[in-house]
Amino acid sequence: MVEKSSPSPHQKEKVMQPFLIQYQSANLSDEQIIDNFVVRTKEFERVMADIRTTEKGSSFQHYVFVGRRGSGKSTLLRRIQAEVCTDPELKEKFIVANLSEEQAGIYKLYDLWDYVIRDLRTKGFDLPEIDWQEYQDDLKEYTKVLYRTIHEFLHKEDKRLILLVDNIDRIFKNIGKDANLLREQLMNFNDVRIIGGSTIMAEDFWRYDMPFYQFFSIKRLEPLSMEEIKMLLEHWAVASGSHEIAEFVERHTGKIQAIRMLTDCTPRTMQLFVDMLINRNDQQGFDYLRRIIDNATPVYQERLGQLSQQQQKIVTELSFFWEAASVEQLVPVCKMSGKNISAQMSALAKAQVVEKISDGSKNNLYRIADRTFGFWTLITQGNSMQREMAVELFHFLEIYFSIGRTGDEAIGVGSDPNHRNSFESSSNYNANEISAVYNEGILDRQRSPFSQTNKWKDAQEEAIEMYVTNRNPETALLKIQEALNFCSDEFMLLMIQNILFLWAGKMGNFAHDAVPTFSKIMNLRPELIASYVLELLIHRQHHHILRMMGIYPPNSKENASLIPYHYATHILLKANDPQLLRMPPELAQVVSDIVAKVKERQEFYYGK
Amino acid sequence: MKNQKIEWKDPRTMVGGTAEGADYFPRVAVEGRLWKEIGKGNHINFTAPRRVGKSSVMKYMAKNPEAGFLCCYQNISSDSTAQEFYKRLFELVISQATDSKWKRIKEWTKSIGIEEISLSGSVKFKEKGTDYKETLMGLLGQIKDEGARIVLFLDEFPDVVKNISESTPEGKSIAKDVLQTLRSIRHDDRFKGHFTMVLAGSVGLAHIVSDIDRLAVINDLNEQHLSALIHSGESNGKPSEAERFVEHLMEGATMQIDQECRSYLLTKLGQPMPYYIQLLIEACNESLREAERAELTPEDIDRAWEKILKEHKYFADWDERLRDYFPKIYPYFLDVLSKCADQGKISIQEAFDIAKKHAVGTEYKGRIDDVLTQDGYLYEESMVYRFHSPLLQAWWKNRHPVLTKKKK
Repeated sequence: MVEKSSPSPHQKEKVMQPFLIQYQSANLSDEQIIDNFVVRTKEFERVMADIRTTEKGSSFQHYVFVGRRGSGKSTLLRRIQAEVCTDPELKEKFIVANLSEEQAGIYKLYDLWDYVIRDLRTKGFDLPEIDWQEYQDDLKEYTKVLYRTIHEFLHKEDKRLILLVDNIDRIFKNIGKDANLLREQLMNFNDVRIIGGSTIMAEDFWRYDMPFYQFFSIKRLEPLSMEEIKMLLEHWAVASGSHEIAEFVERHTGKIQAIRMLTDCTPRTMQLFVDMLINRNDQQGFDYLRRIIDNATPVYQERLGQLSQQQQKIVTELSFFWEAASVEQLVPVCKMSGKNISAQMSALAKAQVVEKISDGSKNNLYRIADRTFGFWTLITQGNSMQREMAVELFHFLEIYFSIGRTGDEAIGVGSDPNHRNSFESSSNYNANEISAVYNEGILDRQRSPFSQTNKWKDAQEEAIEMYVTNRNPETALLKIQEALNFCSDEFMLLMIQNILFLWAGKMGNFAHDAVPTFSKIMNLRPELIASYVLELLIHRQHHHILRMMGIYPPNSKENASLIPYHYATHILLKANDPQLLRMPPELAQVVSDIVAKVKERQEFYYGK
Repeated sequence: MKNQKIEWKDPRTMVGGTAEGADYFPRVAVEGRLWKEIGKGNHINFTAPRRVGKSSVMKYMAKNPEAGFLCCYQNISSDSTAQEFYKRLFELVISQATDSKWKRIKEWTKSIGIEEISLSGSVKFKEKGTDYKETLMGLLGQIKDEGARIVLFLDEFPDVVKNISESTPEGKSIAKDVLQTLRSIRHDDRFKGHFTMVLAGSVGLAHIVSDIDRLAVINDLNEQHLSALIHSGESNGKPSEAERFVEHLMEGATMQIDQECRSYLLTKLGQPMPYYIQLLIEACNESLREAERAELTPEDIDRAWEKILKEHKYFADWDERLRDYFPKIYPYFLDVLSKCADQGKISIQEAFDIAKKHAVGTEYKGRIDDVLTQDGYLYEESMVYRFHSPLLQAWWKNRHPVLTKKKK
């Protein structure tokens, strides 16, 4: 827990400084790093426990932290350095060299050892000069001599070296075949422990024929959880004495959650966010996100610029899909051959720009690996409609995760923990469908009087508010029904599909209010019943389907349309009563198609 | 109790690198076999797939030699010329001469112009241009006179042969000369029992040599193999080697694994490879540490296994690599791997039967050895292939399930 007290002006200055330094944690003092280290504590403690218990003469575990840009790798390495440098017992046993800043200049293995020697000299240690010119005909020997110098120094000092190397993947790429020599040196002398950071799970770590195959213990830095974000924000609020941050955390869970989901929230994104919060606290919902996007522009522009023109085109078009897309889907929008796109996708996947999702066949799906990058591409490269869809998606998420308060209990449309957790943790959170809902919403607004006054969103928010504050689904429903009168059938179904998915969650728990609510809507729109039942089947709400069978009179038109779904339900439930499965032959194909469709969609939502 | 913070002690896992000191789990049987052969004066070809623990065994043996032996371990994989290799051997042997009673050798080193021998064994000559092959032979001649018995554990030796053969256009003939020189050293009575080499590698030495020279050049080496840990065949109530390994890892750790979980964990992995046992235990430990709960359950093991599988996303690349680089023979590889994944192993006879279906011909085993074994998909033991990685096996089984036709 973070103690909530006002800091002194000196403390405030000390802690506020990091907000201005977004990319270089190496520049902070040990004290500043320790004071501001709030998240990634689990990874830190795990490695430190290992370092502390490593006995003299026993082996070393080398580590690599793999995480996206801004996920906190450099800070974590810097925190390890600060710990070893400030703990007298550790200082006695270890020397730390942190090459986070120098790594750009490391092209050969001798550069690495040369930088280590320079770093040690900067710390005041006396290491002999090695004249490289003596070895210019045999640079491998030079590399060995440099390492020997370090080895003999460590032996003399009776210490071991902890070498912190950020972007270690780049170093492996640069040193090439020297990786064999590096592994050899680490194994033969056992006096240098490497702890690295990498944005990618490089081939060097998993290819059998590479020297460092399974050599490192790989620790992944996952996106921050909501709890971690709150801890981070609370810490910054206390440390900076910013009431704005504290209030924001208290009141606007929805906004934070929306930012988290749309940006794959990393500590750096949150840092940008807080910086903006302090300086521009008058901004509203989407403005926060746009501001984050603006701040990230130099980095992402460079990343996009590094791609070939064809790759830029593919990445941009892929971002407009919101989520995963197949090569087939990309062909018409990119206007390139499928073969060409596939080849480019392989290169992009290798460069970790896109992520490949294998579905067991050759038809892979692809999505942009870094969600913030995808969102940035969408916002900056998309047309006005696409940008508006992004805004609407943000609003949707914001409302979904908003917290109302009755007494001490937090509730909201997304307040059911099962639904919220499944939505948050879903790797395929179905943003494309959500955005499609809003796309339709935008079209509806353009063609209906309701949207002209922009009241659709207001009505929806009002309905949610009613549900949240009064826990009165009936009133909320009425409000939604009122709003739906102005919507097309497609839009309504899309919205229902989406809400069903959100409410059903991965566990198959369905909010009790949802089905009766939608059943009533369906009564008003009987032409949608079949589609609605299909959605229920997809989300495994079999009991509600069976209940619905009883709602309509046996010979009604509605009931007739439900009969194939009735059989499909029993097949999907693996009913073993032959009576239940005895269907008229003319229905067999329709039922089989429904079952196939349901299975396909279930795989999409819930995986195999 | 969740509320009471436990002071957590992690298991003694080492995923990657070598296990040394207290971390080392003794592989008594193989150590015994190696010492027996070394005692007879035999030189050894010590093989094992990667991540089974051969470097750890050799390091331990080098640090804890049997009486009368002076031992040294080194990974030598970066050597790429004959001169570098001979220099390495020379330095390793000379580094053992620090004992003051080796007066003859000390005098000899002065006589050949050695100025300095550093702490790490590197040697400085007065003049440049030393012929290390000749100097090494001279040094070995001195060893017998001193009555010393030196054992060099040379890790990744096949890599060196390969490096030399590929380094220059004349590489093959140079590599051939190196192999023949080593053979003549092994057969020279002056050195027998006084200088022994344990040549180890994860890449089969025979496979490399067959491309350079006749296999006869290495057929005098005593073959020793390090397998996965033994987990069956001991029925007298004593824990198996794999179970003892788990106990060793868990010594003093907060996480508690009862016998049922230990068996479950080993069954889950199939082949008890030290690396994967440790990987799974580490994942279990991390989740229990977070939950602040000490007792491991089979459900925890399942979750940890799923998490590891999820994190190893790159297995699709293992599949694609085969499809892209070997499009013609891919269907054969696919069937072999799928069957192996399904059954947990595949015999050479079964591979042959599959080969007939794909018209692969006499190359059926060679292709498996050259590609699937060399690239770490499978390893062979007693005429049976198994997946090197249980993770890859699980992934492959899921991706390429073997479907059998139902009998009518």
